[in-house]
Amino acid sequence: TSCLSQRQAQSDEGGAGTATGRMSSFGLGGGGYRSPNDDMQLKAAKMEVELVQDLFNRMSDLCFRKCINNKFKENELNLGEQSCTDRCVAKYMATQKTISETFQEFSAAEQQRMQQQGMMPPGGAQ
Amino acid sequence: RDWRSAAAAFAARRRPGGEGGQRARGTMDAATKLPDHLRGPFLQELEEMQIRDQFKLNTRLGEHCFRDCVTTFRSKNLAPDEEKCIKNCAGAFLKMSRRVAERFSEIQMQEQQQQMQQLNPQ
Repeated sequence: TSCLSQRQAQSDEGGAGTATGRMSSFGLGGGGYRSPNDDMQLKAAKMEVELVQDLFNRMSDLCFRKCINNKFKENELNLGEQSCTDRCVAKYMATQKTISETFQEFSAAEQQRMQQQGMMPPGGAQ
Repeated sequence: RDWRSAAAAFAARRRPGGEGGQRARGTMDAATKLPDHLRGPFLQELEEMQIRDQFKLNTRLGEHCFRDCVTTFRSKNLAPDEEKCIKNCAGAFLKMSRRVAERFSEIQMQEQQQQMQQLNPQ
């Protein structure tokens, strides 16, 4: 269902890319001129997608190593592997969340520290 | 062996259902935040990124299953039990990956709802 809506969006945006897109890209043919702000937004969206993909791939690799190890005698996941996978995903996401929060606290503290150091006279300790 | 047919198979598997569909759900949030005139180019780039990701999946799977299944080097050819192991390994990984995608999007939706509740505390 989500891929269907993605394809619909693609066909819709095909129209927007020509008419509306041309209007907002200052008349230089579909997708010609893009303001620096547009480029930044596009890059930000791309990087967000890369982030999600990377997170998903690493999570899959790790949960496979930790949960699935039946020496591959069968082609199905047994119940234990299924619940291990569910818990692995939940814990991995919680780990990622904790790390983001810790990182934010750390950067905030770093910023404060650097601001205080900036007020020291030149020639002070680096 | 034939990377073109493998590429076509993976591109075909990206269509509705399976892990490709579910991962696309998470990435659609990024698309909806963009203004209209950027969405087209973004979706083009997105498709490219998804194809690249599928190729990476191919090599990741190869590495996993080689590490777990191929243990001796008495011969150049894969033993039949190693072949079977690799087939089962790939099948198990892909099934697990689908399950991971389901749980992942559930958790993402929960977090989205939590964020929205925080923004609109009514």
